[in-house]
Amino acid sequence: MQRFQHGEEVDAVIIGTGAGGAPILARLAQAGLSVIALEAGEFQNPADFASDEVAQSYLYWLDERITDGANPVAFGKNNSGTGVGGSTLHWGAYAPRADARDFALHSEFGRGVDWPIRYRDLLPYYLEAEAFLGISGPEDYPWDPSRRYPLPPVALNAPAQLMQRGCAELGIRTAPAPIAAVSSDYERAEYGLRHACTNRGFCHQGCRNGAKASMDVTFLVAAIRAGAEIRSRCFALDFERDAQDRITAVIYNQDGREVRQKCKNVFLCGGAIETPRFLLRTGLANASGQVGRNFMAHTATQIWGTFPDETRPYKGFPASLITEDTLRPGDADFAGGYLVQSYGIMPVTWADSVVRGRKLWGAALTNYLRCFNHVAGLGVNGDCLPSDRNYLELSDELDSRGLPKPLIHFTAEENEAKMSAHAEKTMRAIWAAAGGTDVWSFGRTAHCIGTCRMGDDPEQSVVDQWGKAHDLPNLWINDHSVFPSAMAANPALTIVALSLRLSDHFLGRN
Amino acid sequence: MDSKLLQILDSSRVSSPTRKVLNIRLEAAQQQGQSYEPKAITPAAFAILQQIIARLLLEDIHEDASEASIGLPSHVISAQLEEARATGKGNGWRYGTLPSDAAALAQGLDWIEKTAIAEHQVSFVSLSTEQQEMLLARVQHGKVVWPGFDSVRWFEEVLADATELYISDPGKMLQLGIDAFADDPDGWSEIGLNSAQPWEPETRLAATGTDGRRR
Repeated sequence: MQRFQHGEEVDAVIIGTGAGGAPILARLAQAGLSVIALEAGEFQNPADFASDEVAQSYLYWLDERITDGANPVAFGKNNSGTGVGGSTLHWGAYAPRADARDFALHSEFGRGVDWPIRYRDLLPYYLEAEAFLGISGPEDYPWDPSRRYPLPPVALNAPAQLMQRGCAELGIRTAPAPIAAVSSDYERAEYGLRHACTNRGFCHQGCRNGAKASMDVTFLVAAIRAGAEIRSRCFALDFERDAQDRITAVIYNQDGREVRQKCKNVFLCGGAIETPRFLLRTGLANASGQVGRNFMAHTATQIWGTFPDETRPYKGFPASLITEDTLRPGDADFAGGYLVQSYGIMPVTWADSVVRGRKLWGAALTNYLRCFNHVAGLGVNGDCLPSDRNYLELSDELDSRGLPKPLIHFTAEENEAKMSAHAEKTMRAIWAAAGGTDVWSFGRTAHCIGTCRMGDDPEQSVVDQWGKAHDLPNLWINDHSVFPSAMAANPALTIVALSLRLSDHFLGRN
Repeated sequence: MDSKLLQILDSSRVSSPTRKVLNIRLEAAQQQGQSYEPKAITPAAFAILQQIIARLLLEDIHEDASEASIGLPSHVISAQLEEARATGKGNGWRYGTLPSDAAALAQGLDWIEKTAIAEHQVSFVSLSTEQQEMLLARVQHGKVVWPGFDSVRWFEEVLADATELYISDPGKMLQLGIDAFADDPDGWSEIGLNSAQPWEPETRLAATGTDGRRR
């Protein structure tokens, strides 16, 4: 791997190596620029990953976040990662594109906000991302006849078969989900050969054979081959700026030592918690007062049912079937919509849901855990509207680095509550039709969204439609924080597409 | 240890990184003696914690009674839970209505004891099983008055921590028919409904409800 000198002024420093930062690192390096990525976590060797939930928790962002509001969001394994590759190391790799209508929610419903860009702006980058990552999906996508995936679907597990059964009964269309894991061996000149998925099931604990398109086996390999440097165990602390407010260096902590890297540009890609936390701490890019505002989380209600069939829900790709029929339900009393997916699960995560969601303990709990091999789940990913009540701020508690811990407030508003109720009703009907009994629901949320929204108006947003900070001439932000609204689709593919689009703009290509 | 578990753990079905972490966990549990010196709470509070854990993870008596004995004893779960809280080994987030994990454990147990004494004039550990369960149910549903302390979230967090320790025990997993850790060399080919690899042990567990009865 290329090594740059600290005193050498590189073209760009990229903070974060997840879906927001990794594609930029690769694209800029491939264009011949000198680029360094700073990653708070370690380089990982997938061959060392154990098939065990507890042991793999080192892939989660475990620095404490304080969560508040009427519907406090769970962090850690629920949505936050660390290590070279960021959250994509433990990402579920469910990779639908965002729906075109979700870019203009306000125009459609008079609620929420419109994005400053549209689906057509991202389409070329969705296509590129799908081809590069090797997305596996159905031959015909029922909700978009023009769509073609590079690889056939991954194998359907028992929960997916049950969802097919229930939906068929009710006339709801389903398809194998677009999954960012290769269903057969896949080779790209930029990163080499990746072997086919073996249905091991531990996607959320780290894929061991490179089948899953986490950044460490795709964009980051391409970046290193093109001359980029990745520095692990580096936590960004501050920027140095000149009289014109241009960032001239990034100050970061590596192994307890403060280091200064000179640079011409900075891309801040730390995710929707660490990115605003950095900006609030340093007071930068916040003339609008919008940094940390409009924190959102997907409505991610799940239901679980028991079946006479054996399901062994720990096998195969955990979520492998989709319906988009619920993106604009005819009887909806809310703005936007949701996607339904089948759910397999690992035992520790499931038991955690059982105690937090169903609130069982004692003999009722230990009895119920005994039927693990007969349960299957359904879950949704639903839009979330920005709200003044939901935001991130710095708490007055310090973490082990001596920096304020983030405090996140989240309360589901009426739109989210109505959507969750609609979703639960739909899913209960599907499970009843599939033969499920003893059904219970878990009103959870997923993904951290918003806090540095993009927009055309510098008074109402933090970055422009490309991701450039309104307030600083050479700061760019790209991760889940820039989303003006949540959109129903799982976010990673859209974040990758935004990264590629931003990179092309930066390089003067679009 | 269960022979079926040993057989799978030692076989080539389990990858070496997986075998390593499971063996470390099994050994740590075996070496956890009856006497544990708590680090963040008093020995009296630890005695209360042990009884709470015993109530939270009560095993029902099943058709195959020998199975019910497989699993970590409550003193092991209590010790591991207390140690994790004391050393700040958190899960990356904390409810804003609770203090730090270690302080929350101590304060919640203190409230339990105060409530037991106020209502029954004896320590929580001297209450009958039924009285303990009734008190815990009220804690879970916020029916106790603990000013400035969120009993509902406290209960949820203790229960979640205990349950994770309970089910991540490889012996318990295998008892529940979960052989997810048998991960080598080729993953799973039989992943659909009612299908298993030819070598997988039968689970013998039926679809049951919270009452343990077949559905």
